[in-house]
Amino acid sequence: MYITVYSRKMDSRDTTTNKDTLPAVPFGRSFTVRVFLFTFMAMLLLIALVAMIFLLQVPMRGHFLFVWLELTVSALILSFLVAYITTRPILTLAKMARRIVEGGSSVPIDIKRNDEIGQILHFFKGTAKKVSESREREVSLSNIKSQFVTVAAHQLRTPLSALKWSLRLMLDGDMGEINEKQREFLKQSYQTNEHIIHLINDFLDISRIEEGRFGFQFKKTKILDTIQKAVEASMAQAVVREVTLSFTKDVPPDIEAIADESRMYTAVLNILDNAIRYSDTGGEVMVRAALKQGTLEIRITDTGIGIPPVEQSKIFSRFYRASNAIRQQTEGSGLGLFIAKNIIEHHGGSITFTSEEQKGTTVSFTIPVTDDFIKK
Amino acid sequence: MKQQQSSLPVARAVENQSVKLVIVEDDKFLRDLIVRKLSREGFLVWEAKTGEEGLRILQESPPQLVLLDILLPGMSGYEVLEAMQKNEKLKSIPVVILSNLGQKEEVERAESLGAKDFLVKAKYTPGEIVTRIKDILAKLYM
Repeated sequence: MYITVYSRKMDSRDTTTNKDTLPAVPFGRSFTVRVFLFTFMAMLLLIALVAMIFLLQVPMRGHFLFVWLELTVSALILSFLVAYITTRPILTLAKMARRIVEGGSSVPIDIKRNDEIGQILHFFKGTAKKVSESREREVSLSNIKSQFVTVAAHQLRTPLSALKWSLRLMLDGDMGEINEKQREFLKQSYQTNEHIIHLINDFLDISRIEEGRFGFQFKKTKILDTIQKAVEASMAQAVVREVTLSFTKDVPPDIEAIADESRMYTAVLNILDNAIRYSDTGGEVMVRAALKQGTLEIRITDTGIGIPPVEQSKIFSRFYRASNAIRQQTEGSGLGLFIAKNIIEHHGGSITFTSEEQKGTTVSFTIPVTDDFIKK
Repeated sequence: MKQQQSSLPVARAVENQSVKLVIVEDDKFLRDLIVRKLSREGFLVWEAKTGEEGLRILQESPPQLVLLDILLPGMSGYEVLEAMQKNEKLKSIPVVILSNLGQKEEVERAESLGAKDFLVKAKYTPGEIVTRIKDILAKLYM
């Protein structure tokens, strides 16, 4: 579908290009001929001047110097003129190319010349038009894509909310008493549903990041509470996978940061999801908060499968999943760390990791904390 | 804790089952679920399927709080908020948006139109929604 649309467009382009073929430049108007004639005339003039000096055997010293000076000045002026007429169109071209690179959609091009330079300008204009057309097409395609994602996500979220709410009401005993076995199944259904909701939120976030409209609502936040919430939310997953999950706070609990609570929650949840998902039964995931030079450092250490050294540079790319991760678990979108990195960098922090295969991974990220806290 | 809270008008009202809420939600299943939870928590809940119907109920007997969806048949939630802002009688009623939208622009638009809170349906459980409603009521009517 995609390809057919494109190839059809390409065909129509090709025919227009053929129509655009310009006639050969007439000899008299040729730029090459003009430059040649100009240079040739300049040379002749100089030769004539030199010949005059020698033929007339100018006797006086003063005159002699004057003539040499005149010769040099003439040579300078002529060279300048030749250089000017040859390089001016090149400079114009360079200027236009720059405008196109910088993203100018309409490039005014003066094609009054009908020599070779005029031809170059003509084709250049065609190229510029194509570039701006393909740029427009790219923008509209990306708009359609994000509209689709937004509509699809919203349409999916409504029934998923209904499922979430009804499962929750049953679990909370609002629909009458349930026995342990029923509770266990309902809990698992609830987790599965949460997983789909999370995935859809990821898709929405990615599409917003791509559009450059991934909005943040920053305000003073008790950041450790946010992290605690994410740790608690991951507890169910840790229990299912029989992984020990702990959170150590080596900082005062009321430490504040300027942060977007819900986005930060998502970032921590995404990192924890990887740590737990790729740990074996009996493994351990440790979250540790510490202060380092005015920034809060969160380290999430797991005893999981690790990341192969050759793939370590790619793990923050979207849709990327390490080969050993795919072997272990087919489930996973490869979006989590890409989103987490984006969120943390928007908070003025950075995210790094160290990893050893079969030993585990430590992901650390930093968040600047507010000044008034540091003074305390 | 409960003893202390009982001195608050809201807590008393909740216990007396006289806090009245209006919910504007077009999806019947979602409406049934949240109404069930709210009723169990002791709220009196009026239901509306559209913005127009919601406004009519608000005019007839103003509630203590409104739960409002944004994407509705006919009038949108934003338009309901605008209409409430223009009406002296309805202006002061707190509105909590309960929608599956929730991007920055949508939240900002709702807040600029006077919404007190913006809850994304897929992100909150009925229990959490009730807690938020109680918090807002406690802050406003304390």
